[in-house]
Formats: sequence, C-alpha cells, structure tokens
Amino acid sequence: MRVTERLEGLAILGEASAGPVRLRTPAVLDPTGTAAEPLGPSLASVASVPGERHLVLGHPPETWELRLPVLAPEVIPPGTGVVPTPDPKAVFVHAPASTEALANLRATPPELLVLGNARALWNEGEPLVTALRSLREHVGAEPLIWAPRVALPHRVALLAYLGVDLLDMTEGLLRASSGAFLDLTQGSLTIGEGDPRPACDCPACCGATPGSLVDHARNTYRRALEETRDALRRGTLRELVEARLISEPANAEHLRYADRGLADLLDERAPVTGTVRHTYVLTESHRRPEMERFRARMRDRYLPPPSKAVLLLVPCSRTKPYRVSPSHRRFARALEGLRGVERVHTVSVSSPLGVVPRELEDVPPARHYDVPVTGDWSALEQTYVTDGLSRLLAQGHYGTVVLHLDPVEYRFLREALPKGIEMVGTVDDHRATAAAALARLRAELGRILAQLPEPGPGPRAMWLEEFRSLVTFQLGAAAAERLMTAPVRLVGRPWFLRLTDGHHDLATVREERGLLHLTLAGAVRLGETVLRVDADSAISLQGDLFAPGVRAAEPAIRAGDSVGIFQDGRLAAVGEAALPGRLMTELRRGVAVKVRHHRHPPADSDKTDEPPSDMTGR
Amino acid sequence: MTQESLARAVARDRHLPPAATEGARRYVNAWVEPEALGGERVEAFVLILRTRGCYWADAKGCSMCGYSKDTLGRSATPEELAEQLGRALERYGGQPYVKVYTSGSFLDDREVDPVSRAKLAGAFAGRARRLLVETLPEFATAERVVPLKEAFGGELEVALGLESTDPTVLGKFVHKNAPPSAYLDAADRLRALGASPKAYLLLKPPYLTESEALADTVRSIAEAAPHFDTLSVNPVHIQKGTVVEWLYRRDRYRLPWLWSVVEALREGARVRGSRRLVSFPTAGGLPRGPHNCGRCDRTVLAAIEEASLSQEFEALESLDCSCRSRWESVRELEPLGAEA
Repeated sequence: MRVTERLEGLAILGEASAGPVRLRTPAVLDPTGTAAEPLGPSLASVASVPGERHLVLGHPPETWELRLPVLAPEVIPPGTGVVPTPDPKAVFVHAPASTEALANLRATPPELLVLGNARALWNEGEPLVTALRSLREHVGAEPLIWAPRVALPHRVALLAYLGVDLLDMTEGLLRASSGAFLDLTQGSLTIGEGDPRPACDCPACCGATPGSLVDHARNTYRRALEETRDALRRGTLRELVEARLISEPANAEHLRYADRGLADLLDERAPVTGTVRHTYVLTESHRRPEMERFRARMRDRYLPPPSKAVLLLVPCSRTKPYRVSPSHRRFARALEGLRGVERVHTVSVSSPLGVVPRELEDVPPARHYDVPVTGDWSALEQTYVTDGLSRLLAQGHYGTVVLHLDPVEYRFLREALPKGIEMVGTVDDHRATAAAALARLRAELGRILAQLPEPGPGPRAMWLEEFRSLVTFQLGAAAAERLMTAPVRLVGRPWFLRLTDGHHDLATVREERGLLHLTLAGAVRLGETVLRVDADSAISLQGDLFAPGVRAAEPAIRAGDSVGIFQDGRLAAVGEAALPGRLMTELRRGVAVKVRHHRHPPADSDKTDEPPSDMTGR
Repeated sequence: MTQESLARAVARDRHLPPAATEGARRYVNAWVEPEALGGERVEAFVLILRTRGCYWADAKGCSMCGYSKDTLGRSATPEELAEQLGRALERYGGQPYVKVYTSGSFLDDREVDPVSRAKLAGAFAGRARRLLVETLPEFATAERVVPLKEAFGGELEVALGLESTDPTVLGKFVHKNAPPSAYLDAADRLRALGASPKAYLLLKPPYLTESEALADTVRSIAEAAPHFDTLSVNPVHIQKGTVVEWLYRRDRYRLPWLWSVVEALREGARVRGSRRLVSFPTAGGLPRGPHNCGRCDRTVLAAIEEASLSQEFEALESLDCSCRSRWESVRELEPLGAEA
C-alpha cells in the first residue's frame, strides 16, 4: 500500500510496501547489497532453473522472493503479456500486454508490476512510454512499477517522472565493470585505461588512489536518487528531468514521447495551483503540462469580458505578476485618467503562455514562470501567441487592436491579425517604455476611446465581467453562467476578493493563488457543474476527506480544484482537491480533499453514534 | 510482438526460391581441419553439401540457425549430388576423418536420397577410417543407418544437435522440433546399431544469461555423457536471418565469452566420465562469434583447441587476462534483470 507525499509527472514520492518490504519511492535497488549505508532495498539473485529468474528484493531481514518467468516471445508467442508469479502480489508484464488482462488486475491491484522487457522497450523508443501508459491507465496508480536494468544515473529522474517506482543499478554496474564512467550530466562515458577520470567529488573518486569505477557508479546512482527525491519534494522534478536531457538523445526522445503520448495523464497529475517559480528554458519546457493546460484553456474556454472594446497588446515582463512590473506600471500610468479606460483590455504577449489577459495574470503558471528572453520567437512560440490571439478576436468584441509592441520583433503578430480589424501601432523604433511611445499610446487610446459609439458599463460592472472571465477560465462557461447569475457583487480588495450574492459569500480569490475557492453557497449555485466527489456517508467532514472515504470522484478533478463533496447525494462540504480525481479512488491512503467548509450536522442528527470529531480514514 | 512469433516470420523469410541449376552442382564448402582420432592427431576433411535443407528450418526453425541460406529450397537430384561429391573428391586428400554435413539432416531422404548416401559413403570406404554425418534424431533409424554403415565399412559417427538437455531451453529458447529425450533415445539407438553418437551442445542460446548458459551446458554434458561418445560444446555465433541476430541487433543478446567456453570445458571435464569433450568455436574471437576482450582471444582459443585435441584440460586453469573479472561481473549481475 502506498503513502503519497508528493506527486509530479507520474512520479509518486512516498512510501510503499512490496510484499513484506517497506520502501520509499522512487527507489533504486542496489544489486550488491553490501552498501555501508544502503539507500534503498537491495537486489540479489538466486540460481534457478532455465526459464525462471529467482530474485530477492529487500532489506534483510525483510526480503521478498520473486520468481519471474523468462519468456521467449520472439520464438513462442507471448499470450496476453500478463503473467502471474507464485506470489499474487507481484505480476510480470511483457509489453505490449492485453488491455483486458491488465484491466482484470484492477479489482485487486498487485503491489508490484515487473515490466520485464523494459530494457528492450527503452531501446525501441516510444513503446516504453506506451507500455507505462497502459499499465497506469488500466491497472491504476497503486502498484509499484519496476523497470529492470534500464536505469543509469542520468536516466533516474526521467524514469521516475514517467512513473517507474523501482529502478536498479544493474546496468550501470555492468557498464562500470567494463570501464564506463557514469556521469549525471554527460551520461555513460567510456574512458580508456590510464586516462584521467572526469572530475568527481564522490568518495570513490576523491581519495589519493581512486576507488573502482563500480564504486563510483553506485555513488552516482545514489546522488541521482537523492536529487530526484529532492526535486520531487520541491516540485521541480520536471526541471531536473530537462536538465538531464543532454546526457543522451534517448532521454530527450522519451520525454518528447511522454509529452505527446502521456499528455492527458501528465495533465491529470499536474495541480492547477502552485506557487513554486519554474524556469522554462528548453523547447521541451514549453510542453510542460501546466503550460499546455493554460494554452488549452485559453484556446477552448476563455471568453473575454464582452464590454472590452479595445484590445491592447503589450510585451510581458520579467517581474510577475506583470502589472506590478516597472514597464507595465508605466503603461498603466500612460492610460491613467482616460475616459472609458476600463474598456481597454490589456493582454500581455508571452512565451510560452501565448497571450495572458490582465485578469488571468495571477493564474498559475502565469504568475510563476521565467523564460529566457532574447527577442527571437521560434515558429512554435509564435503559434502559441497567434492561436491565443485568434481566440481573443473571435470571442471578444474589440473594435480596435492597439499594438504597443516592437514592430520588428512582433511583425509575425501583426501579420497574423485578420484584415478587417482596425490596428494601431504605438511603438516605432524605440522601446515600448520610452516616453515617446508612452505618449503616443496615451494619445491613440484617448482618440479611440473618445470615438467609441456607446458608453461602457462603467468600472464596477467591468470588474465583474473580468471576474467572470476568470471563472470561465477556471470552471468553464456553464459553471460561470450559474455562479455569476444576478444578484452577485464583488467586494474586498484586489488581493482578496469575495463574490457574494448580497447575503452569503459564493467564492473567494486570493491574489497569490490566482484561482477561486468556492463556498458551500457557491457550490450550490454550480449545481451539476460543480466538480463532484462522492464520499462515504458515514464519514464526518469536519476533518479532511481521505482516499478510503471516497466512493467516486470526477476524472476531470485536478489537485487544487475547488470541489463539492456529496454524501447520500447531498452537498455536504466543499474543499480543495489534494489529488486528481482518479487517484482519489485508485490510491488507498492519503488526503483526497482538504475540506474548507462543511454543513453543520443537523441538531437532531439520526447518526448520534457518530463521534463529532470522527477521523475516519486517517 | 504480434501473435505470430518472430521465429515463424524469420523462417518464412528464409524460404528461398529454388536455386539455379548451376548452384545445385556445387557443394557449399569443403576444408581440412585438425582433429583427433583414437588418441592420434589427424586431419579431418569437412564437406558441406548443398541440399534441400532442414525441413524444420522451413517450418519454424531454430533461433540461432541460419544455415538454410546454403540450401536449394528443393531436393537436389541424385545427379546433382553426384556432381557435388565428384568436385569434393577432387579436393579430398585421403584424410582419415571425413565429416559430411548438409545444412540439415544427411539422413533425411528429402535432402540426400538413400542411393546417393550409399554412393557417398562408398566413395570414402577404404580411404577414411571414420565418417561423420549429422542428422535430426527422427532420421537416426536402422533403415537409414545400417545401409550407410555397410557402404562405408569403417567407423560411422552420427552427430545430433542436442544443444541442451533442458526441455525449456531446447523447446522455448532454441526452439527445436523434438524434446531432449528424443535425442537421448536416438543416441542409444545409434549405439545399438554400431554407430558412434556425438552430441552438439549449444553454449548460450538466447534468453539465458551468461551464468545460466554455462550452468546449462555443464548440466547437459553430465546428462548427455551416458548416451554419447563425444560431446562438442558449440558457443553461439550470430548467423544471418536468425532470431538471435534480431535480438543481437537490439542489444538483447550478448555473445558468449570464451571464458565461458573455458569454464564449460573445465567443469564439464569433471562430469563427462570417459567421453570425449571438445569445443571448436566457430567465429571465435570475431565480433559476431564468441569472444573475450580481444587481447586474449587468440591465446584462449588456442588453449581450447589444444585441450579439445589432447583431452587434457588442466592447462585451461592457468589462463588469465584482465577481462576475466569483467566476465565475472557479467555472470554476477546479468541474472538481476528480468528478461535479457
């Protein structure tokens, strides 16, 4: 059984049992089993008959005997690809396995899935990602996956990210015994006898007489695992994976296959919230699930505030959120006091987000990203921008587009604008923050706003429209329609807004979180559009809701989403999802929903035998 | 993997169009090699005939065998076989030991008809002391062996590709058509018919680790020894168009080390009883044959040949090279993976 501490990619940092052995995941099995300070469980082999591998996994005295079949699938057709082992807690899989046979495991998932041909799959490329996908898709998140003899130190982070829980040092030690120097950045290096070793400060390398390459390899595996677990704790595993891409082309290939073939699973595991600042440096960074999600929601969900009549496109800024940056404050000052200025929709152009409307500037990851900025836009980055822009123009009611952007750098954007729309450029050959440009921006906008045919709804109504755009982005148009039905009012300060119906709060937004929390009243308003979790009716929701208490949860739920918890078909509480919906039922332990508001049990409750501070599931 | 095994597809790919008449008139190859005969160092004349080829290779095929590239795809006519023999006899220098192979079974009538078999044996009668032919076990019958023995007159040795006495290894990994017991029974039959049975044992079929392969060969030596007069250890080499080659190209098959051959002979020598135990590795020291680090291959191969000819295995104990520790790591670590 797993205890989940952190999720990122398909990796789970936590504890798990493998038969009688308890271990931390992800883990690297140590074949020698003689480590002075064993980092994880060891792996040993026992002589067996041909056609069977007899392995012993674990930390003595706790060990687990595995008897794995050796298939000869190229000679004898492999059947379903799912082979039971003498211990029902371990199942051997030879990919591609039959979907049906895998799905049959779901009811009582084994503790360990051994992906027997993982090494061959790695060499083939995409089939590895396909195989891991089908294991997680059909058997779920609970079983540990072991990919034997695939891991090298520079692959550890990537394999963990792909959801492989158990790795082993076998391949690296074999290579080291043949003269390879294993390096986290440069991969597996062949060094000749007598050649100096690459710089390394591991205990095997820094003594007066260097230790063996095998000892160095073990130390490097150990570091690889430590940095992987540490990155998981910090929420920066993806950065680490990307940092290791240069070690061998296969690493980059597998990440690209994963971004394509596991996109939905990666999206599912990625929380919608987050306050860690991430860097997006490589092309591969642009495809991270949270970036894909932002662009997808922008493209598929977002609706601009309908009363905005002028679309003002401005460059993004290094400081986040943009509106507090020096450049954006100058832009704001240039517009200050203009009559009808609330009808100007300020939208930042940025890679790799595409376009970021002002009201979404706090939505993750818009508030927490760093990219290298050089003024060169790759074709892909240009597409992100022009796709977002198309959505804005198609759904908005803009009469004019004002480009407060460098005309050379952003020529692609100008060229992508449809012909019919009025377009004004306010930056010539100087910077967007230059006084002349700012003066021209003010002059042009003043002129345009003065010419608008009808007056706008006024700043207060515009504030509500902007809020509605945020709700639409977060929850979708149908939910926004229900939540924003009059009477509604926005109260509070920009850093803490409350949406009320005049009597009760419906939702709250804290600036640094960027997304709204629903209250019970808000969830009631959403009706069937609320993200729904059904909990066991016997459970008190005064504490958090734990995975064993979840009967069903919508697969659309992401960690960080505001969800409604139902008992006996009635809304009983609202809270913030701690797990994606599917994992709430796939995992057997851990917090599923952090409860924020719950209905007070009726005074004449018929469940008087239930203790008031019931902690069921903990 | 699709439901059709790769072995099947490979066998189909290997099914060659009937060769031109010209090819059918030439044997595949002939050469002379060192051998031992009754404790005496002799030369052996080796002849490989071009025939229809192994029927099993057409049907399913063994995972390591690519010999069907040397076949006709149709039965050779008696005239063609006679011409092949005639050409070979031109090169025959009266060596006392003659080995005649087809890329299949010499005793299969579809490959070599009974008349041609007797003719060939008769051609060497009185000139060679020993004649060796190879066959699958089902053809090692009295009706085929007795006439051949009579036509030759000397010692008849019949080799069987037993490969392994383990049914899993033989059936699933080598993919032979018959279980080990069929080979052991055939050997007993041959002995009863006055022929000398010889076993070929395959060192490191696919899907076995180095250590498993070594153990399998040593066990096979012990189990085959009561039934055979000679045990020949054949380490795998990569032949074209085989499952083994397919696996090798995908880094899923590693060729056996010569150290494993040495070890198989050393350990086998203790369990062979009074039988001859030999190994003449094909493609030894080459990239697609059994090899060590490259520096010691020549020395090790020479020692293996010397031990095979002299039947003195003590000299193998003194071999050493820095790559031996690598071989030991491989033996220790390889079994920790699930599939090779």
